Amino acid sequence: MGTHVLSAEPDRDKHVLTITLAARLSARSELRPLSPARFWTVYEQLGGDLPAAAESEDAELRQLAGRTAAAALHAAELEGQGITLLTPFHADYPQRYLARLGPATPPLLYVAGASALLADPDRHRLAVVGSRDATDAELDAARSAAEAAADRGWDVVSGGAKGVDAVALNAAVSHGGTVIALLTEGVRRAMRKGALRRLVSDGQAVLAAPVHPDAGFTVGNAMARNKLIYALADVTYVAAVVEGEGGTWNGAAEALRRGYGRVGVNPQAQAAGALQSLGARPVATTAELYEAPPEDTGQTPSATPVDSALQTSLFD
Amino acid sequence: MSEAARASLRKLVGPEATFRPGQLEAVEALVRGDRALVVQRTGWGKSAVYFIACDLLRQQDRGPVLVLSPLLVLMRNQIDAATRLGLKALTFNSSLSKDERQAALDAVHEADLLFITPEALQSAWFAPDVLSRIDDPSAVVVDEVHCISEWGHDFRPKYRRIRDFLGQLPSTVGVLGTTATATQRTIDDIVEQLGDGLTAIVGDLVRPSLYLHVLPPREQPWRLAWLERFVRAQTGAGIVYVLTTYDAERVAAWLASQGIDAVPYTGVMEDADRRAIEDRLARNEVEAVVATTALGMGYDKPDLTWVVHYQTPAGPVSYYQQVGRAGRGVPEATGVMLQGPEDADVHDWFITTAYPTQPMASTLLAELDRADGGLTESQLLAQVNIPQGRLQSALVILTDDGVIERAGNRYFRTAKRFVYPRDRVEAVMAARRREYEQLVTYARGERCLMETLQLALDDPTAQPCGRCGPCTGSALPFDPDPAEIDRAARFLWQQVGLLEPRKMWPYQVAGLPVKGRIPATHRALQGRILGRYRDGGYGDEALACRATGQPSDRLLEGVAALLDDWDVEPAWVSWVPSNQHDAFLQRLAKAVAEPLGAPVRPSLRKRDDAERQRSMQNSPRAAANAWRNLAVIPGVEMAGPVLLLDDVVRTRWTLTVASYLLREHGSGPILPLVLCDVTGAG
Repeated sequence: MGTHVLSAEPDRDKHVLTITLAARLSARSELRPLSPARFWTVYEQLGGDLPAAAESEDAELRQLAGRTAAAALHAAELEGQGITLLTPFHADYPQRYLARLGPATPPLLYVAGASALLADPDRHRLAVVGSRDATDAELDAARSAAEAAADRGWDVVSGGAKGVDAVALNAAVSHGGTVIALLTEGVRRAMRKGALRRLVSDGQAVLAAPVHPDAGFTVGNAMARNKLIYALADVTYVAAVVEGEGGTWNGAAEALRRGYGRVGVNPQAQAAGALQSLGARPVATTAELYEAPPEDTGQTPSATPVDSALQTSLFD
Repeated sequence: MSEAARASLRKLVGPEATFRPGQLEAVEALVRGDRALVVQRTGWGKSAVYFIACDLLRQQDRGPVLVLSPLLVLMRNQIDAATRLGLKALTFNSSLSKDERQAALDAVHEADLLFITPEALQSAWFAPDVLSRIDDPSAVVVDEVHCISEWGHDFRPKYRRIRDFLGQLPSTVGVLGTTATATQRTIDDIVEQLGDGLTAIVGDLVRPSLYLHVLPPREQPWRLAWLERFVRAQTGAGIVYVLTTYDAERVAAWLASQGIDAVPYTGVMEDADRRAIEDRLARNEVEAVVATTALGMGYDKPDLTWVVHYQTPAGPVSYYQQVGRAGRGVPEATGVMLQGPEDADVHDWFITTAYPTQPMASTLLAELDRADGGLTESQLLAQVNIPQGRLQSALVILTDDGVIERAGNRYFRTAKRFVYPRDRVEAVMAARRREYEQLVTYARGERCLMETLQLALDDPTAQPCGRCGPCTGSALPFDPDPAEIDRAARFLWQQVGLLEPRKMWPYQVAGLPVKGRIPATHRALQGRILGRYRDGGYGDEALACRATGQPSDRLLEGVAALLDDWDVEPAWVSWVPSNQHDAFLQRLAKAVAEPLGAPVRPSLRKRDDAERQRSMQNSPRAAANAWRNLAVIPGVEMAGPVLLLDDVVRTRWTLTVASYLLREHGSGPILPLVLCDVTGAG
């Protein structure tokens, strides 16, 4: 698909068929749903006519497409419990993913909480990321960044894990902010533990994940998830990072290479220098996150409302 | 398409067959992938619509048709009908045995029609086991679609998910809703829920074969005696509708005691037993089936010639449906509504407990919200003061509402926001009360009964039927004479119940130092219950005596007769102490002990500040409260079997704890005798 920029409009039947093709409907199912890359290939091959998948010559695709009733049951159960199924053909889906991630765009996201927050053009998002084994100083840096974001009315994008993720989440919430947590496990499973659910019911957190709502953590899920954090944010703050290692390094490097918004790095982090050489900006005080000059955000030339709003805020 | 549809009709039904007005329209809508609603009386041919549509869709190589239906009885009849027409029909529901389900799974790939219950549709196995084996359904039929609406007389929370399910289907899948009975308000609600571009086909409701009658309110002995006369005079089998399981068992027992072949049919019976009774009724091998609404919508016995209501049903729609079981395939059938003084109370209880109260819902959700990792039903029961039955029904309703979910045996709060639907709950309760009042008005018989029913159901074609009691000015000739009424009254006074001892302590209860199994050595023996709350017999007599503090001769005669029959020889008599009624119990013990020649000995005492057992709303609480409040009086001679008296029984925990303590202190075997079972009383 190369550099082709994807786009999608809300469309009920496409939405329903996307769920049918991309959802894992049960733990026992032997059918593998379409991966993001395969989904977008199929989408293009069918010229956007997803219902035509039911008549495809590809037997497996045909079989997947013949699950509309099962998919409808799956969606009905979850929607009935307050979990929204977002596809690129749903109004709440963050179209930014299509622009930034291209064929890696997840065709299906499960969201608990106010799903409209993900695509709200009037809101700004700061991702706070860092490796799990951060030092106390690095955790403090994450905390300040998240607090400052909440104070400015920005949403904090986080991974919902321990360490930097948890510190950023709690800091944002304690300052009255809202957190979008992109999880490596299923949202329903995460909600059963209680703490995150209480934040969701108080309207302080939105949970989202591309995996089945009852799925557990896997390394594969975690790798696929990282890019969703960077690609959703206007600005990313890397509180702790080790060169060449782990999801944080890989994710930050990818965000810089592909231009998913600006990336600031904690100068005390081990790999701060290395990230700087890839284009990250050292940020000693949280205010600098917002004062940085506008750079290439990786957007298509016609700036989205998010970007124009961001630019206004940079100079006010 | 109309030609193909006519061809299919002729093929399935016969060369002379033609469509009724509305049928073809509905068939075409379904085959096109549109949405349609058919409101037509039973016998109009609603199933023909989806049988023909199914045949056409299958000819086009489309997938099978999914029929959602709440009732097994209906399904069995429909499957027979579809099979006669040469369609392959299967059912999936919870009553199938393992082998039956496997056989259905083996055959499902070639099924044309799948009949499933809403429960089966939402079960964890349905999608992976059934849907994965078949082509995508080409159409979905929702039978008894009024259940989707809260304004319907028979709203079922499980139908809420069906509405969500329909909303998630691709627009190419046809949807047909069918019902025999829905008021305009219900129809409007269904139209709104099923969505845009819905074709609605609504017919009239008149039943020319039905001869309706009403009788003024009467006490139970009169109604029992009347019923006996009525049933004897009938040539065919019929249905007696009652309000509760207890009524069903008692009325059936009365008829049986008079030599009439009558059986009860209730929701607590096993599916297989229910099926057996339906079959016997279908073959006229029984004279009367005494049923709760568990024998409900869709039961089809065309030659049923009579339906009697022993009590006032819930409202005009329920009544129309139930009485409409009769006279489908015969020219004349009788529908009679009796009423009792107890009806209003029973309905009030049904109406007010249909939805959890606000405090109940908030308490449950708060407990679940606080819990990390969810709670089991037992854990919830130990934490909230809610009766087990109401807790269970609240859990079901809140799960269907989506505000809680169940995984394994634990309940979790979900992401869904909960605002107590106070306005909706109140509006629905008010509507239910109005519906009940409509029947009270109906029962006065001041105008044509069929017309009154049709008007209540918003049928614009309503007019006097010329057949019913008020139209003809005729009364049914079954009024009982005093001797017959007396016999029925004596029957009501002889309903001794058995009292089974509890065998397990409740789970995880603060303040209860015992747990697990209660050792057989510390349990009571099987006891006896003289009467029951609102039984028109000893139960009522016992409560009246207790209020005056003095056991009446009549009550003591009842106890004596019970003891004669029980055949036990107590060595001493005691009672479970009570802060309110101890004097009454002591007098009772004395009066009962005297003819037995056994000594009366107080053996237990109760704390003065004890919280009343009846304010304990569920099992764990009641057990802990009884444990807290009871103690054995030291130094009492306790050798030999003891007749242990108590005035009322609700949870059985007081008797369980009392028996345990007495046995622990060396008492002989415990023989509990309770005057009145107040389970379910307010």
